[in-house]
Formats: sequence, C-alpha cells, structure tokens
Amino acid sequence: MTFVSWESVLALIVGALYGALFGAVPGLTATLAVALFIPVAFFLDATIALPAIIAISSVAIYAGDVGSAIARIPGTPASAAYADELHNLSRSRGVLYGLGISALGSSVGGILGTLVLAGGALALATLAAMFSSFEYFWIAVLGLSAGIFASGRHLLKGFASLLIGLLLSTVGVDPTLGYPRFHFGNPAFLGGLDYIAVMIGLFGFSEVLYHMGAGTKSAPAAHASIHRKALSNFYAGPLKLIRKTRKLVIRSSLFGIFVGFLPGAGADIGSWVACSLEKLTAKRKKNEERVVLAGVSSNNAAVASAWIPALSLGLPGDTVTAMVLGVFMMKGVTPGPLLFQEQMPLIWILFGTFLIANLLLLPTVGLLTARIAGTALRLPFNLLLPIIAAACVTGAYAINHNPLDVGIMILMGAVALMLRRGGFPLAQVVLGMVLGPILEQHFMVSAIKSNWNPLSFFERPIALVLMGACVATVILGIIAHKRRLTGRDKGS
Amino acid sequence: MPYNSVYLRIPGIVFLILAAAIWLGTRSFPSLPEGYPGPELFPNVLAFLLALAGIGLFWRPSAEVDTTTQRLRGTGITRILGGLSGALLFLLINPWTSIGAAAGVTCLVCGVAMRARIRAVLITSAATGIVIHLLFSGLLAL
Repeated sequence: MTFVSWESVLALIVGALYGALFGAVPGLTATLAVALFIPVAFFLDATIALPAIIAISSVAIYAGDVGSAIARIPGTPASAAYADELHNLSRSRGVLYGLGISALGSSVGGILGTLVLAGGALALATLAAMFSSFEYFWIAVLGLSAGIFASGRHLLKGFASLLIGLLLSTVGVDPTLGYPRFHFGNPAFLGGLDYIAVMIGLFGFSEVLYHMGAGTKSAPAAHASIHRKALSNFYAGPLKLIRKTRKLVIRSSLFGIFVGFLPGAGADIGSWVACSLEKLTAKRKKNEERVVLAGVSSNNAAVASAWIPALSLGLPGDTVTAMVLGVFMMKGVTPGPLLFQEQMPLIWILFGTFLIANLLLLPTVGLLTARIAGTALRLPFNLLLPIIAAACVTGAYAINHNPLDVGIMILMGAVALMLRRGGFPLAQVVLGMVLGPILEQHFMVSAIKSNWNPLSFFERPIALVLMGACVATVILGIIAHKRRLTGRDKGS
Repeated sequence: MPYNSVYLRIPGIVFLILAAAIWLGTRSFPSLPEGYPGPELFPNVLAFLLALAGIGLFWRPSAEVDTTTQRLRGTGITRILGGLSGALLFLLINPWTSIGAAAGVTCLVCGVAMRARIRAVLITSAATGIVIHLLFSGLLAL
C-alpha cells in the first residue's frame, strides 16, 4: 500500500477542485459532493477513494465561505456564525484578504484537528462514548446561549431570531412519538424544512429583494486592490494575523475538535461558541478579522475530528463520515479499535491526506477560488444582482429537486427583509433550526429515561461541567452586554 | 407611532399571534403515557418564550433599527413584490418545460435584469440559463 502514487495525487487534486465547486455554489454542500462521489468510490481502491473524500470535504467546507464573501450567503450553518464579518471584511479589505483568512485559518484548524486525530483518536473516542443524552442536551444549550450573546447589543432581538429558528425546526415528525407537527396536510413537510433552502432565502434572496426595492445601482465599493498583490493579500496578511492571534486560533480549533468528535453534534456548535466568545471578550469594536479566524479554524478542525469516532468506534461524527463508514464497509474494512492495529498503513494514509489537504490544497485551491470570487465582485452590481437571484433559486431547487424548497426560500427571503429592517440578526435563525432538533431529542430522551426527574440533568460530572460552561457563557454575555451599553451611553 | 418602532412592534404582535396559534395547534397533539408531555412540550415552551419576546418587543421597542438599510417607499415595495412574483414564476414555469429549472431561472433573471436596467437583458438571462443548465444537468448530472 503506497501513498504517493499518481492516482492518489490525481484523486486529491480532482477531489479538491470538485469540493471547491460544490462548496462555492449556493445550495450545494460538502455532504452532497461526497454523496455524489460514492458511486465513483465503489470502483476505486480505498487508498484513493478515502483521500479523495478528505480532499472534497476539507475544501468544500472552506469554499462555503466564498458565498459569504461575495453575497453574504453562508455555505454551512457553521459559517453563518461569521458570514457578516467575512462579507464586510471582503468588501473593506478585499476578497483575497477575507478568503485568505478563511483558507489559512481553516488550514491551521484542520492541521490541529489532524494532529489530535493522529495523537489521541482512541482516547478521545472513549471520552465521546461517555457522552449521553444529558451531555448532548447541555451542549445544545451551550450553542444556543452562545448564539444569543453573539447577536450584539440587542439580546432580545437575537433571542427572537433564535426562537424563529427553533420554531421552524419543529416542522415535521417529532422525535418522541413520531407524531407529525405543523405539516399543514402536506407530506413534503413531514421531513422538516431544509435549512440550506432557509439559509439561501435568509441571506441571499433577501439581499436581492432589498436591492431591488431600494433601487441600488452600485454596491458598496469593494477594495480596489483585488488582484494586485495577490500573494501578499492572500498569504502574507492572513499569516501575520494568525501568528499574532495564535492563542485565539488554538482555542477556537480546540472548540471545533471538542464538538466535532461528538457523534451528531456537528461542527456548528464549535464555530458558534468560538465566534461568540471572541465577540464577548473583544476589547476592540472592530474585531471582524478575529471573529472570522475563530469561526473558520473551529469549522475545519471539526472536519478532521469528526473522523475520530468514525475510525475508532465506527460511529459517524457527521453525515460525511456516515458515508465514509459506508465506503469502509464497501471495501471490507471494519472501523473500530482494531482498525488501528490491523490497518495501520491505511490510517497513516488518512492522516497524511488530512495534512496534505490542509497544508497544500486549501492554500492553493483557496487562492484559485478567491481569485474567481474577486473577479465576480468586480462585475457591475446590476449584473451581479440577477446572477445572485439565479443562484438562489437554482441552489434551493438543487437540494432535493423540489419546488417546495424554492417556495420556502422565497418566503424566508421576504421574512428576512422585515427582520433585517428591524435589526434582527439572521444567523441566529439558522442556529435555532440546526440546534432545535438536537435540543428537543436529547431533552426528551433524558427526561423519559430519568422518569422526568429534573435533578438527573445535573447528576453526571461531564453534564455538570457543560452546564457550568453554559452559566459562564451567560454571565460573560451579561457582563459584555452591560459593557457595550455603558460604552454606548458614554459614546452618546 | 415612529416609523422605526413599527418594524419592532409589528414583529411583537406577530410573535404574540404565533404563540397563540401554536398553543391552539398543539392541543390536539397526543401525550405520553401517565400524562407526561409529548410532542406538544417543545412547541408549547417555544410559544411561551415567543409570547414573552413578543411582549418585550411590543412594549419596549428598541430605538435602533438597521440604519444601513434604506426606508422603502411605495415604489420600492412594488419592486420587491415584483421580485417575489418573478421567483414565484419559476415555480409555475418549472414543471411545464422540458429543460425544467433552467427556463424558470432564465425568466427570473430576465425580470431582475430588466429591473436592474441592464442593457443586454436577453443575453444576460439566456447566458445564465445556459450556464445553469450545463452546470446542473450536464456537468453535475443533478
């Protein structure tokens, strides 16, 4: 079994480009990219198929930020946590700089995630196995509280947006009895609302509607030096920032790793907590670069750590690793603790691929996508607007080939227009939609298995630690909120 | 009522109506054995919190709205309705054409491009439709 073969190198390069395309187009996701690759993987050797999947998912998660940079359309719920900051940064400092922070921050997060994967997969998998529904419930609460306090000065508006998201998550079959809720007699609603369609409507289509309504003829001026000093903007500036804020990057990556290796929790909570913590503890008002860096490093660290339970316990950390387990089975490889004894060459290939994907592919494919994004931003705004409208409609339709998703996207675009005017944050709606099912399912499971004893939520040590983290987030949030209000009073 | 507070008081009222509707809608949901709450618990908790948020928004509307967005007047609202209609047109055209989504998108882009006063409306919309058709149906085979 050799790692450096021309087939594997080709698989990595093609996988990275394919992942970049899927990540950058609204509506197409890393999960869909991997799902469409699975039939191809059937004909490939495991040493080629698995590295290709790693390249696809790592690059697609980064490329999800391209939509945020150009049109404020985040590619994943995790990137919604810093979509506004990345968009503003791309407008003010140039898209190469914004996406440079995203690519290199993702790269560092991914490398740290890989090192943890290589060094402590078995130990962390054992820790993950100790997590029960009580711990998952507190993790969801932690994500939600971080989301509220990340909403800026108006906590009530952030809370209201979160409630809208939680409410949208109740559409479909309930997790306790399988009872259909709020489906209005339409079977298409039984599976719930697709959060990607909601996200496209909230962020993308609302932007189109707003500019149509306001009669905008030109966008806020993008930074002039989009193509000039490309290497300096994409590499040197972000690297300098990462070196200066290394503690933040390490802390955020650790958040991503911690949440990423928990099966089912996903990268979203890590990214939200990392961004929220940065917003709460920021000493300066203009901390967009740091917020983006916190989010992206956490986001990509979770991509690697999601493989920890998959490799060591055979439990999928997210949807991508669920499909990876399918590839393992297809190739006759059984994931679990024995994998580290019996298939060490394959394990080293996976670790090596993660490092290559993060060290080489993200920075190079990242620059390519950033240049294309830069060109898109230079298009006249009145030309960009219909293209964004087309991307929104097609993206929503491409998710399930269901016109209903387009209808939901349109409705959410109109709702978002009202919310934006009232100053309600939109990203919290997505967070509520993603965390709602996790919160409800684990609350109900915990309550039923403890015979509705409320004290059972505070009895387990890890649950207590997580509850402590929630309380700390709330206290820190209130202090930061008061500080902001005092600052505003002094300012006025 | 000041213009800005309308954008907070109206959501406040909507939240209160939503809370009442959820509470009414969940009354027919089944409960768990021994009377413990089931599928209605989470929506009811949300309804309670929505009502609280609604009261908060209605009685204490913050003075700050998004000042970066412009006030929309009559023509602006008409244009927004135009944009919404264009997107809804996609839903109507989509099932009736052999090339599906691409035709609907072409019509939508045509409408938005006309609104954005692009000179080459037909070229822009046709090019977008062709690119989308090639990308999704051809290259990605979706």
